[in-house]
Amino acid sequence: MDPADLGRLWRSPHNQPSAAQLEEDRMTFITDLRRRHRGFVVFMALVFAALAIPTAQLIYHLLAPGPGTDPVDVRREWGVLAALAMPWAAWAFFVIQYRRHRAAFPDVETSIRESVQALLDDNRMARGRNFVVGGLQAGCLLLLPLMIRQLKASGKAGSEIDITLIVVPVILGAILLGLIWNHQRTLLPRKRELEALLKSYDADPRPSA
Amino acid sequence: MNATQQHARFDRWLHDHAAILHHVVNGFAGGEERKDLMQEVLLALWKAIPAFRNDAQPSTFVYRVSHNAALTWTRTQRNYRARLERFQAEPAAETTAPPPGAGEQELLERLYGGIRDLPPLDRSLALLFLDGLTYAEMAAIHGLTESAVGVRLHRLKQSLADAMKGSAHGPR
Repeated sequence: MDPADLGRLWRSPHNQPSAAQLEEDRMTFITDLRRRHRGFVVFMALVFAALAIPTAQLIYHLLAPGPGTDPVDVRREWGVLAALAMPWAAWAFFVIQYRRHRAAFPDVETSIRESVQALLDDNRMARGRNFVVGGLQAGCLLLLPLMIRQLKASGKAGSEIDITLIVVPVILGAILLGLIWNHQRTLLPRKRELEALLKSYDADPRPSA
Repeated sequence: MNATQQHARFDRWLHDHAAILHHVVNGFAGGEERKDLMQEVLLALWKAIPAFRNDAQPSTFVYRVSHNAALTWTRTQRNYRARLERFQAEPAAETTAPPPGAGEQELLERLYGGIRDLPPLDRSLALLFLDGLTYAEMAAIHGLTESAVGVRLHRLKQSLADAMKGSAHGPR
């Protein structure tokens, strides 16, 4: 088949999308766009509620301690406040990241090669974020025994709180496994794909002799 | 740009440049994966619309965004597994030529198959070449020199000719 035949074949009506197929793709896309946005908002709202309930309880306890109950003494019980602040910091971090992500768009003035380089940088930052979240978790784990000791010392908790020494590490461990999975199964393969693509731009295009 | 304007431009481009999207999706994905890639390309286009400045050709913009999305597309594990299973279940690929008088649809499938067998960057260049872009346009889209595009295309034309060997029109 010569180039003219190839051109004719390429421009033939068979190589054009049908209007029905196009409309179906468009509708699927619009539905998916809404679903993605809704899914994220619901997820963040649930996390917000899970954080807001213990925070509200703490604030209530600070402002209106019950009869015979001491208000929270920050100097004595700072471990609780620090442990509570960390998930809020993580939540705010993810909200900011998401808003940035939604507001971001590719720089159309750059070439695809430069976009691939930018994606590789994004991948490096995503791996860095995993380390930040892992670090926050490690901080929570370190604070946990201290927090429990402070609560026990102030007489606000008895031995029943010891169960948290098992439950919290199990939850944090599950999250950590998720982070490791994401790192190994998503981010690292993606990094390798992008590096291979970038390498193909630099490969010598000369035909072999 | 507000959401209504973004929607309007998206719909207009989808209508005006549907062939570009059709070609890139078929050049990079086969079977059920086409739907996944089409959604990925549409999402990239949607997100890129606010960045469009009217001093550029919309078609060049659509080429850049859609080829970028296809080149950096990550297959979903579900579809990748399905593809692997199909591949393992299928007998060895037929290498015989199609019967004389094979339809255009079959020839196109053969051509797209040949394109999909190329390395990703070459796949993109082959599609741009078939769509009639100049070397300068291809070089600008990809960040290559015109001479690098020329050398690559010289090799690619041979690959495409090999893919079409034995077609209804016969090899030349």
